[in-house]
Amino acid sequence: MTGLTVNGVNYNVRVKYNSLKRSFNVLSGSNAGTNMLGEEIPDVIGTGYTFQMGIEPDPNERSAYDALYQVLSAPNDFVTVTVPYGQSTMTYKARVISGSDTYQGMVAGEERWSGLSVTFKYLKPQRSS
Amino acid sequence: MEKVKLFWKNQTDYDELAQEYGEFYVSNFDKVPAADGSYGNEKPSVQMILSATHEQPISGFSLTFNTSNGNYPTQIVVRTIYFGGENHSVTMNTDGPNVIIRYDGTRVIFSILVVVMKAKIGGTVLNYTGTYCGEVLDIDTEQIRSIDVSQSADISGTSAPYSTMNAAIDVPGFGDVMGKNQPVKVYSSAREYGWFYVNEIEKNEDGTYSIAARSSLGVLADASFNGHATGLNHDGSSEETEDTIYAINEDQFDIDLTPFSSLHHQYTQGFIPKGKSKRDALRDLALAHGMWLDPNCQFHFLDSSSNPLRIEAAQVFARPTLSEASRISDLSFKAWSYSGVSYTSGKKNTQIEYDEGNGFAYVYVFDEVTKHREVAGTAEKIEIEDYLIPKSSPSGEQDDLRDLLWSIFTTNRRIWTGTVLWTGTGNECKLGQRVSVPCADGRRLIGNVIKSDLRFSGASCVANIQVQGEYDGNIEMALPIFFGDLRVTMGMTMEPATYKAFNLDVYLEECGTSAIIITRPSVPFILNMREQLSLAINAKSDTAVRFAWALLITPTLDINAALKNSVRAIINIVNQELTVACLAKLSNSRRFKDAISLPQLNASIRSKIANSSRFNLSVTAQHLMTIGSKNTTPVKFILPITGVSSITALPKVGSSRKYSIVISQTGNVSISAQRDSSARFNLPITGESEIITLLSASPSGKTELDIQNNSAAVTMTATLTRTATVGDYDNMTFESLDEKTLGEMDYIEI
Repeated sequence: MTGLTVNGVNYNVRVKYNSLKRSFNVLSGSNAGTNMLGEEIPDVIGTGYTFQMGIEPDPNERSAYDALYQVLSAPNDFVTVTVPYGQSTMTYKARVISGSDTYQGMVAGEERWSGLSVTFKYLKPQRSS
Repeated sequence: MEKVKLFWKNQTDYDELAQEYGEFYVSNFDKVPAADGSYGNEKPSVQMILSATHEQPISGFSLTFNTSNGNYPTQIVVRTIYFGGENHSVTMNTDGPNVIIRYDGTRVIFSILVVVMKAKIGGTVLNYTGTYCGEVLDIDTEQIRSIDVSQSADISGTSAPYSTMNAAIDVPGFGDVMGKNQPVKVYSSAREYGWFYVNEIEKNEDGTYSIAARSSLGVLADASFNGHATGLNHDGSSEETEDTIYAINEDQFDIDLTPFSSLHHQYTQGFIPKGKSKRDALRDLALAHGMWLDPNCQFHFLDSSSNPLRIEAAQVFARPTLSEASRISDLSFKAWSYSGVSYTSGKKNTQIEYDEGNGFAYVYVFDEVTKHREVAGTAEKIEIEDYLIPKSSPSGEQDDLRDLLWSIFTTNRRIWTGTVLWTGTGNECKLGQRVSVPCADGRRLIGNVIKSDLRFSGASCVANIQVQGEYDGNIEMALPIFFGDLRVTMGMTMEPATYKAFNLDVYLEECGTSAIIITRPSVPFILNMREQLSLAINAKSDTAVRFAWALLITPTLDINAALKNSVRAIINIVNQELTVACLAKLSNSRRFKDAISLPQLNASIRSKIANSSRFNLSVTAQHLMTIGSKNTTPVKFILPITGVSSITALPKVGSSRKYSIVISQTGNVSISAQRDSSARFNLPITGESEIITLLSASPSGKTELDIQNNSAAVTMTATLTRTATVGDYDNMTFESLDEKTLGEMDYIEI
């Protein structure tokens, strides 16, 4: 997997080494509760995955980084993102819940931004029970 | 795992198609496709030859497949021949278990031939399951945004509620193919939740569709019946109930008539007036035969099995509640009876059935039978209009099923409401089912399910059900009682014992917040004492009752709590030599704060509360109760002291002082005076409503002496008691907590 694919468009950026983190939540439905004996009544509806990563521009194509930033920071309900998963990839709808990067100044006539940290959180369980 | 789905079917299935439209041929579905999924010369096919007179425009057909082996058609050829000879062939690529062929409905189709050219998987047969006229949509869980199913039943048979289903689905183009009264099935892999008929479809801004549907009885509720005399025909022959049902339903819905086969009263006699809904007409028939009508137009006898389906506490969400249905004092049956062919114009309470062919007007007159019982307090009167009288043929034997109905109304009147996890394929949430449900106080209630609202989640179905019934008479203590953070576990066999007097002191002070676990004691407790206390304070607060119950059933308690931002409650049950302490979250309780300003609190206590973090409330419950058989022996209980509104010392006259005691309730009043810790003595009098009794120094010399030498404060208290009737006892409710927590407990009368 090269670059990062968001909304079906591959952006030529670099995912920083050792920055890609994934986490999961086993989600409960509205029917979960406690019974009369004080025991939990589970209602597992599935597992949702969250990915967090650091993104750096490709020095040869800084415009891709800028374009990606524009897409990720757009006030949309969700994006469709493709992320590594096991030995393959997973494409899912996710909310971009936060993002930040750093201004590196103007070099060689280019405004340089880098170090974009972004978190993709599931909209709904990717794996159903 | 439950995964609810919706299944839509426009009109009818294969068998009905064959009957209604013409000939159907299904061929070669046993043939195995080649490795690439293609077929040789013998291709699977379905051919439908339709008559020219099919009544409704055909919007399409659906072929359905069982895809458990992973196989389904991927390419078909559809050849359509229209009346007039024009024909049209089209090759279609398909995907999924339902092959849908759509038409615009404007042309009359003679025949349709569907040939499967290719299957998804080679070497595996296609499992063809049927052909449906119209479009079949199998809406999966992911396409269902929300779904609610509400089912109700009236097991008395006097009303016939229908079920409703509301869903929001995300299926593009759904509204284009679905219309009013089209059936939809709610089902999962575990069970079928029933068929519903679309009432409204609305497209939302986000492209989803909101659907409101109701069960078949709801459809009949909107249809008027044309009026009908039932039972003995005017020529002396009898019309059986089954024929009357047919006249009402006109084969619109499948109605199982099996329940009627066991009856020896095969028909009813009476008149169903014109304009009544078909639903109500069916209900009248059910009621006449001692049956009730379910939301799907099916007749049932009341299930009074002595072996009810047991719903375990592990299956019930915490805090089921109990309430009591309104009490019935009168039940009147208003029936029409045949009075001949004469007719007096304008006569009141007369129904006419015209026989235009013979020029007769059959006249029915109004007749009323009423059952009555004396009921204390507010009671309801029920009138049953157009009652049909059950009859047997040919003997004319009549079963008075009114007694059965009367017995239903006069017993089984407690309502248990709780949320139940619907597991497996059981019937615990099925309307009418006889069940045994656990109550929060350890008792069990046996009754019938009268309401079942289903709530689906991704993985489960729970039902908020109501069960109408009565306690089974046994106490089965295996349940904890919850009071917000307070949990009391109990479990033992209890035996009735003598009631004992006791005092209950409640201390409240600001302290911590945490859960507390009060463990089960190893010794039995006295049930009836618990009931006594509950009755004594029940009128003020269910929460308080349950709080007190918990205390009484736990002679020893283990306290395990942290103290922070909460209130500590210390309870002393003096006569039982019990001292227990427990914690509860009260600090943020509005009721706690309200209680401080209760006018019943005297100024001294109010002041203490206002200025201190610790104060004392006390309740005195005296032993005045005897409960025998509920239905035969009156019971006594102590009412809270709300009846005494003031005790005022009047000016001293000589060495004597009189006291004015204003009593606002009728009953036996006992007056006691107590000075500091001196022994209490009673001054029994009998008071009436709104009397002012001037109590002279009292017949007791000691009292007189104390009051005369009034060097210390003397507290006069009055306790109002009265003898309750059975009706009062019935009024007592034993509801468990709902949203209340201990932190919101109402205050005990002091």
